[in-house]
Amino acid sequence: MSLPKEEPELKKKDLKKLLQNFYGTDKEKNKKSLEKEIYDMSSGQFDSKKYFAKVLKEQTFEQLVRTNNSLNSDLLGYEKKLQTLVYGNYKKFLSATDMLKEMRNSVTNMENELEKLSGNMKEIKGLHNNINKQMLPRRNKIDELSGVHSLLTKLQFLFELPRKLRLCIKMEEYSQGVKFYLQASDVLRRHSSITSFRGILDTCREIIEEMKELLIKQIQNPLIKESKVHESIKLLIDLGVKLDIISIEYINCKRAKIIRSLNSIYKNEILNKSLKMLNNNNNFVNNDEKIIGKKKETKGGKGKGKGKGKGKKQQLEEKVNGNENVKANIHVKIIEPISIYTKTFVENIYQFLRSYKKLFISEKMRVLRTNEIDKCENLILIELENFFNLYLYNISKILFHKRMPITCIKPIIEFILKEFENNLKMFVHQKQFNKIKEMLKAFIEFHLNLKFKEIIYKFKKFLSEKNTIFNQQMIKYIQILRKKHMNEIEKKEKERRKEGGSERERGSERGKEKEREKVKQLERERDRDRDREREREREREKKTENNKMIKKTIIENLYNEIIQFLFQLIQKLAKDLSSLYGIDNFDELKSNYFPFIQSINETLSTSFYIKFLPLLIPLLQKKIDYLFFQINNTVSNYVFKSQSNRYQKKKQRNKNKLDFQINLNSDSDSDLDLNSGTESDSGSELKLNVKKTPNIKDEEVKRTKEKREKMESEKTRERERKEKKKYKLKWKMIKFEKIQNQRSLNPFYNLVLNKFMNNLSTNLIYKIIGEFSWLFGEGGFNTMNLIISRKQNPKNKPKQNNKLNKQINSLLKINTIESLIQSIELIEKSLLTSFVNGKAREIAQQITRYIRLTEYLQYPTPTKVKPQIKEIYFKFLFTERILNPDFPSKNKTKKKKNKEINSLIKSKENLDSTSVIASTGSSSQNSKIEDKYSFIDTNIEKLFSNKINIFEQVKPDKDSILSGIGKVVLKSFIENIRHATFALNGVKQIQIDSVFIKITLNKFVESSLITMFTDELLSNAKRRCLEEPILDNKSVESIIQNTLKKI
Amino acid sequence: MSLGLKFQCSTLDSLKDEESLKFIVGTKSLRESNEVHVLEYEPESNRVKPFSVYSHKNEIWDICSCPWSSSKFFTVYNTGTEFCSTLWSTNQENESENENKNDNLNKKTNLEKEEQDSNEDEDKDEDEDESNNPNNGLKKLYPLVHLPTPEGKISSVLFNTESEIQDRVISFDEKCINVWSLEKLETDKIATNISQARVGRLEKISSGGWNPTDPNLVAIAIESNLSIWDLRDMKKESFVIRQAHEDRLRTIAFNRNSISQVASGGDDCKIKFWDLRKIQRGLENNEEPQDLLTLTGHSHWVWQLEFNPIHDRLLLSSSTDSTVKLWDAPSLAFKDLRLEELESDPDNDFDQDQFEQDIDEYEENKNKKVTTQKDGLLNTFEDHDDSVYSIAWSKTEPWFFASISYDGRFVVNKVPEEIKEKILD
Repeated sequence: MSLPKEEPELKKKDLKKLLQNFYGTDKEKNKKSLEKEIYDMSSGQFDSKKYFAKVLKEQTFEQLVRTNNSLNSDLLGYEKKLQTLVYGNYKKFLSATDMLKEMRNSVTNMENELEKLSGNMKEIKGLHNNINKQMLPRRNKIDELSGVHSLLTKLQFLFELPRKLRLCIKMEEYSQGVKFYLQASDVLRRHSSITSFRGILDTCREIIEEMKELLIKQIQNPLIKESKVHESIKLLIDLGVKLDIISIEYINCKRAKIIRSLNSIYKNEILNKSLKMLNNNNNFVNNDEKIIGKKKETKGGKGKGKGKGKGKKQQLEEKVNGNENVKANIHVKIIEPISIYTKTFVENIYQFLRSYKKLFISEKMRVLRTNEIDKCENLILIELENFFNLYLYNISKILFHKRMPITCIKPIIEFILKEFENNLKMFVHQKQFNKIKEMLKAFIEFHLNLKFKEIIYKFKKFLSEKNTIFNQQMIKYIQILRKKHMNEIEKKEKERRKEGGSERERGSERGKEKEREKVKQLERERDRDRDREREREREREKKTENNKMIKKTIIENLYNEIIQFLFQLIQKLAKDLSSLYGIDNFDELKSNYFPFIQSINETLSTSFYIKFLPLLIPLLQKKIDYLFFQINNTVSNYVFKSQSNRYQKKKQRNKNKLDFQINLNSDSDSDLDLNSGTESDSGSELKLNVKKTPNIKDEEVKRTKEKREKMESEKTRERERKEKKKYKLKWKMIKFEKIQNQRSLNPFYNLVLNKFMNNLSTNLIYKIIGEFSWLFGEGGFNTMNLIISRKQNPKNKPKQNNKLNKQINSLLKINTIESLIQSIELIEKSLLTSFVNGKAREIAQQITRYIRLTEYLQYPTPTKVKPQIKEIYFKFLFTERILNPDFPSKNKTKKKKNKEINSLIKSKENLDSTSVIASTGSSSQNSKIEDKYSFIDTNIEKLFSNKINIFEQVKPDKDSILSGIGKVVLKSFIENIRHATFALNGVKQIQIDSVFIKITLNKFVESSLITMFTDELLSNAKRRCLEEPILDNKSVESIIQNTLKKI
Repeated sequence: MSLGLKFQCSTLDSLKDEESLKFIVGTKSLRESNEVHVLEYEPESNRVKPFSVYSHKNEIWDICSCPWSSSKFFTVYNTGTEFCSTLWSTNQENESENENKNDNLNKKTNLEKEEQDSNEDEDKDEDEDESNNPNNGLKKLYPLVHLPTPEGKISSVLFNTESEIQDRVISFDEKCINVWSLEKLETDKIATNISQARVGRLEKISSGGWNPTDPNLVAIAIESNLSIWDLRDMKKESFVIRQAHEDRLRTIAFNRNSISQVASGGDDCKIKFWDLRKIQRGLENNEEPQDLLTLTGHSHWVWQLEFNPIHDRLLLSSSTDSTVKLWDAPSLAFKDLRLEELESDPDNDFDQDQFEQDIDEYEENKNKKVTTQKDGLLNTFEDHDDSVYSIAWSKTEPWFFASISYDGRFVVNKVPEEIKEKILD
């Protein structure tokens, strides 16, 4: 049985082995690990017997002994460990059992004592109950009695109230009285049905009314102490008087005080003194100006006394500088008292507001009396405004002193603003605060405007004076001329009489026979007379030239004076402006600066421009440009320097703050001095410039540049440290250089820059363009304006308009001047090109219509220039007329001459043109091959000649505009011809047309271009002809001459 | 890059060819006998060489190659008294096998033959050949189909490149839009007229375009108006954009990738893009048609416009100011059009306000995109000295294009590499 059982097992094992052998067997490993585990004592599957057998088998005796020993020692160690563990645990157990025993004993003791306690408590309860039962009835009685007593005392208090209150009033202890009244009034009111109580109430009320009046009187009395006033106000509030009524009283009381303190400024001695000083000083300045004016007058009279004035001028400048120093001192003197004044004012207001807020606008009260508190707030706000108004009024009274410099006002107002911001913000509402701020700002602006107006007034006055002087001079001059003229005439008449007399004498002496000879002599004499007359004419011409020169000198002098005066004004203004607004308020500066320039322009354009214009045009165009540049430069100069100040400030911020502030002041002063120095230089140079050549301008530019470069080199180090700010400065520098380079550019740009900087609306820009078009001269922005307005017409497509607006809007966003100028130029260009394109298209459309609608294949023999082609000429004339006012051509006289010559030489030109035609015609009459060759030749010529850019950018002058239009028109004419086919007569018609165009448009378009285009036109037409074209030049000539005569 | 032709030219087209860049040019000389040039451009050597020259009696005003065969093309020509148009084949076999159309094998054999022929020609100095023996060096063209005589000038003949109707051709003469069938021939090689649309009495068609994606849509230019016709209803135009340009319209080009986008150029030197669907919808609501985009830059008439067949943001324009300009309009490229999504939503009841809002949004999005990728001029090619009347993108390699000016100068140019990279990014 066993065998068959074993066999399958064996088989299984064999199979497994086989598989294991085949697959690389996991079980062998398992077995090995199992065997290891079996022989490892620490493992769970340790088999002691097998281990023992194995050890016996494998180990030698010595090894056996060793293992035995090690095993023994191990066993011993384990046993010891066991013992210690058992022992430790046993000890703990013993102590625990002891503790338990003790606990048991103590608990049994506690139980006994508790039982005793409960017994005692029961006894106490019983006793307490007994006592209560016995005491109850007596206690009730006592309660009743005590209640009656208290009632009685209260009644007594009530009946005695009026007396007590009166006592209080007498003793002036209102607070106690109010307390009594408040305590009693409730009860009295409750029981007012009882007559006696009502009586008491009424009397009490009467008394209280008295008390109120007394309290209010206390408030009104300015001599009573502040604390008492506060007490009385509190009492009044407790008494239920309306808050606003009390507050009015309080404000009235305080107002008087504050106003008194406000008005005290007029009594300030220091201020008065310094103001007097100012007056004197200004008189001094006035005198100076008068002296200058006189000198100018004298110069004008002399006309040539240039050299003498210089030394005196320098002296004057020194004087002016001295004055400035004095002025600076005065500023300090004025500022001090004003600052003290404002400080006291602010303190007063501060205290007033604080107490008011404590008294009336407390949070506790708000719950009960919201309406009243609101009223109170309104009251105080109104009052505050009044105070500020008064304050500003007082200050302005001082500051609007005739010659108070703007430099004084700025620090004062800054100071005030700071003070307000620091102290008053806490007490005043934000809105109110903003209001005050706005008031202050408006105040500054108002003051500035006044200054501007003053300057403009001065300027006008000056102009009118100059005008009268000028007129007088002119009248004198004319009188002198007349006298001279009269003298000459008289002399001539005398001579003539003499000559005539002599002739008659001769005639009488000699006989009739010699009459013929006499005639001859007479003739000779006449000849001589003619010669003399010619000589006289020459002399006259010379004289007139001299006269013109004198005129010019007078005008120039006058102009120079005007310019100088303006500069002085503007320099002052620029200084003041720059000190007023730092870099932070650059925008404000600009916005203030702009109206000033506008008004100056107005005065210039009205009084000055109209009166002197016919004489001054040439001067104006050159120099007003320079003037505006200078204005711009001065202002931007200040801005720039103030920015450099910033750097210095930043540098010094590391030092102490006090030092920093002092440095700040000193910096600004020094900078101002610097500026004044450079400016006076530029001013003096300007004076020179006006009289001498414009080259000096360049020199001046160099000097200023050098100065700036020095400045730059100083600042480069700083800049490197502050890279963040670097680009701003760079920007500025570029701006200056750019402006300087732009001097030759039109002043329009400078002006427009200002406008753009101020972010005006587009409409305003248009206005400005219109306003300053007279300044712009050649550019003719009037036409631009026209074009713009045309584009705005709803008839035209609005899309273009949007684009333009976009362009302009984008312009407004642009900040840097370079890009601005670029974009202005771009706009100008695009406008011009659009104008040209529009015009050209208008004319070209007509041509296309004409060519497309005529049947050239069955065309009768041409006899006329086509009316459509004639119309082209008229259209050109018309456009020229449009352009004339805005683009006065440089060589007007030449053009006129040309026109005259044109009319004279027309016939000649015709001959020339016909000869050209003949030459082309002859070539065409030759064989095909030649024609081809000529075509190739022209092609080759085209290749080697510079590519004529037909559609180049249009420049803003009449010639280029007209020729631009002409080019496009002719190009479209050619294109149209290329896409038509002609019979012989058609080509002839085109020939006539082209010759006509060539002659008529010669005025408007460059002659070389015209010939090129017309030639191409004809050759194209010939190429598009079905037959070999044979051209009849004579008939063409006659036709054209006929039409020209008609025109 | 460039090659000078003997005669004046005003038209060219690119030939469909698998292997090489080929262009076909027709000369325009009224009194001499004219030629049709097939020119091949080798990008490796950057050379243009004549592939073959065929004689063509009359001056060619327009040329239009068959989009399926390199050996067939239409010419519009002027006999001096009237305009005609004919479909030509370059080899005689094709004529006999005309009825078995689209036989590719034939074409291949033809091509091989042509190549052999041309190889023979190349060995000689060609310029001399042409100038010395003008008639001997020229090959003959075989007429396949004539279009019956039109009314006035034919401005162009067009195949529809995208559609499957291969036998249809549209021709524009001054008065009519004609649709022809090339399959059903009347007697003597004359095409049958399938349908005809007639414009008003005082109106003249100056050019036209056939929408490749929607073969029923045709746009024609009448003076400054752009009028749109549906071929299914030929009695009246479906709508008109009045005063599309400030001056005469010269050319119309459909965008192949966008269903309703059209570009137009005119005498006002401007190129305008229109979305016809949007405009149609706007006209129904009495709104003024607004263009999608206006490109300005040419200083004279815009004569032809061509969208790049693959990158539809690229647009070529030729002008009589003798320049060729390459424009980029990424904001109008096919993928960016959100309106497509809008309109493809049929479930939505049409809500005017919603629609307007959507349009506004679309407009805004468009603007945003414009700011990221600007529409505008990419490059100006100033290879020509005379008016450039015709341009064509190569049909084999869409980065190349050819242009021809009136003085016969033929120029092949390439989209500059930087622009190419930019577009491919």
